[in-house]
Amino acid sequence: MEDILKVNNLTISYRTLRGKVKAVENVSFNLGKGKILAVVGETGSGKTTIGLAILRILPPNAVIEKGEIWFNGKNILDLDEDAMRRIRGKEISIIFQEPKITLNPVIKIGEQIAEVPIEHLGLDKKEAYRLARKMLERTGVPDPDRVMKSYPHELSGGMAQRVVISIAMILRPKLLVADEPTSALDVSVQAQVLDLIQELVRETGTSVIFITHDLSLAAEIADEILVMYYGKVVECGDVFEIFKTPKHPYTRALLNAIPRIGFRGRLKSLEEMINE
Amino acid sequence: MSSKPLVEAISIKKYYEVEHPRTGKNAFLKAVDNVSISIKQTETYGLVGESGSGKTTLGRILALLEKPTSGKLIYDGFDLSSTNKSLDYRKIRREIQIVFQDPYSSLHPRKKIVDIVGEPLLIHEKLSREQIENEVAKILEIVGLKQEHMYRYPHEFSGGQRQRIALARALILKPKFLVLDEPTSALDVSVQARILNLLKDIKDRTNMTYFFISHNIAVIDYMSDRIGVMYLGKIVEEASRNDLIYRPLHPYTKYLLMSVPIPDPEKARAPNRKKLRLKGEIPSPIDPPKGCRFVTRCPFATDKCMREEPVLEETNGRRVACHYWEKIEKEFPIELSWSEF
Repeated sequence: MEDILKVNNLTISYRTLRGKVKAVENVSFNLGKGKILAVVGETGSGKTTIGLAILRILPPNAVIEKGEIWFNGKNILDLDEDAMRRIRGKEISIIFQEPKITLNPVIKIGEQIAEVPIEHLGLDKKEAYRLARKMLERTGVPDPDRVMKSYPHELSGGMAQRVVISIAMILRPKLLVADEPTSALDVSVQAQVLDLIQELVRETGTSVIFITHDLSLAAEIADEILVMYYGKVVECGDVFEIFKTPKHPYTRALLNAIPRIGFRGRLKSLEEMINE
Repeated sequence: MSSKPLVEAISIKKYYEVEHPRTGKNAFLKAVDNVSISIKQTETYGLVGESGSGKTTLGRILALLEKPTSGKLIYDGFDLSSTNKSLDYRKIRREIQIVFQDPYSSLHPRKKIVDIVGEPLLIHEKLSREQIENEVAKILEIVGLKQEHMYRYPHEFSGGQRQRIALARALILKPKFLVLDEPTSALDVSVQARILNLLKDIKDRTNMTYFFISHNIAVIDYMSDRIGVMYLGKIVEEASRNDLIYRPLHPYTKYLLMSVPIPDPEKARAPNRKKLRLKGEIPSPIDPPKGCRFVTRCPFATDKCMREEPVLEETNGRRVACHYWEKIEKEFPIELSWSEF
């Protein structure tokens, strides 16, 4: 299987008032074409930093200490900003947790989607809007004509996230980084959006890095899982394998800490597991 | 568990006057619309619902932070709607406490922990400084913190520790009734597990009654004896935890349960599961649908559902508000097998 992304020994720190803090340490992984990799970890595990590094949109106080990010035969970390701009939105896209923050509040939805093919493919306005409308329809937005003319505040959270997905997927990117894309949504809408992401990437052959704090979401959609703890990869492998026989105690602890419907025992926290 | 009710809410309504977002005219946001529930002594009543269902408003009313537009609230046999500033009311007021979702905004950033946790004692019991410090030390220990923590400020603590502090403040007057509004939703899963277990342990020791609110039905199932499901200002179903998760009657509950992600890839990808997705989103509580509130998303809806609002009817010790629950039960049985671990 051809790999679309290879991350080697990635180490990233943040400069803070109290000195340098390592956020990501020696992280390596490969991502196959059309595969979904879930990067799972709790707050501070470094999972978001990896996603930002792949798009080269780290905050200014971040320092890439070492490592390589190979995408399409090029090391992303060596590219200049112009080259990066041509990749972002076209070959690699990202969606974030809060669609309402991602979208520009004073620009109509239609323009925000159409901007992508205009910018990257040089389409004329009419053609770009037609493509935008088609994409909205594909993401299951009811009444796409009305939504094209709406502003973000007029949309529900679920609709706004569909718009963000339209923007990210309109050029059929090779890689999608989805950073907690359903964490702000209600559970019924979350299920719809997960289905949508899966359908779309299956159609386009897009590979996905799905960043989440929730192992259950990884169980729902991932092919492979990378479990992170304080900047380090503690376990990586096939989703069925990891759920069946988690090898690292932290993975086991995470699995034991999730409340499951119908569970009538006592949840085990990390501390309780260590004490045993 | 005794079956005597501690808290009874009868036909509670809470309407907020708002400007209609499209017409600009005055309108009512019906956050809670004619809800009656009865919470038994020492039980944990879990309330689950999506955003905009009115669950937090109902919780705030039960915690006496908000006055209902209409309806009756009876606590331990005492009608709270008839009188207010009486002595009895003051006594009851301290028996009812609340813990909020966000421990970052619920603790005063410039007060020391001893002052945050001890403040209720200062107001209700007029204790000396030394007595307050003693009490705070005791309660901090109960919630899993150290007594030297009392001289620190909230920013020195993690989210989980802050939620312990919020809990300590709620517990210091030894309440009988505790409203927990999404107490673990802002926390990481491993921290959540610890706080949930702590809440269970404290309840076992004290015989308190909990009203536990969450959008997460798995958390509600873990914590509760009985569960109410709220949708657009109404209770649509209420049952014991086992009846609710193994034999849900209301179509909303059925679909909600099917939408919950399962931490098991084999089960999660069962082929028939994806067909059972709830369509659309919860409508605005300013323009709720006429008839049944769930009509816009319900796959079984008929003309009758659009015209007539179903009543919350009692059946076999549980309640359900659907015209067709019996028919659906016969023609659309869903198999819910949750694995025991």
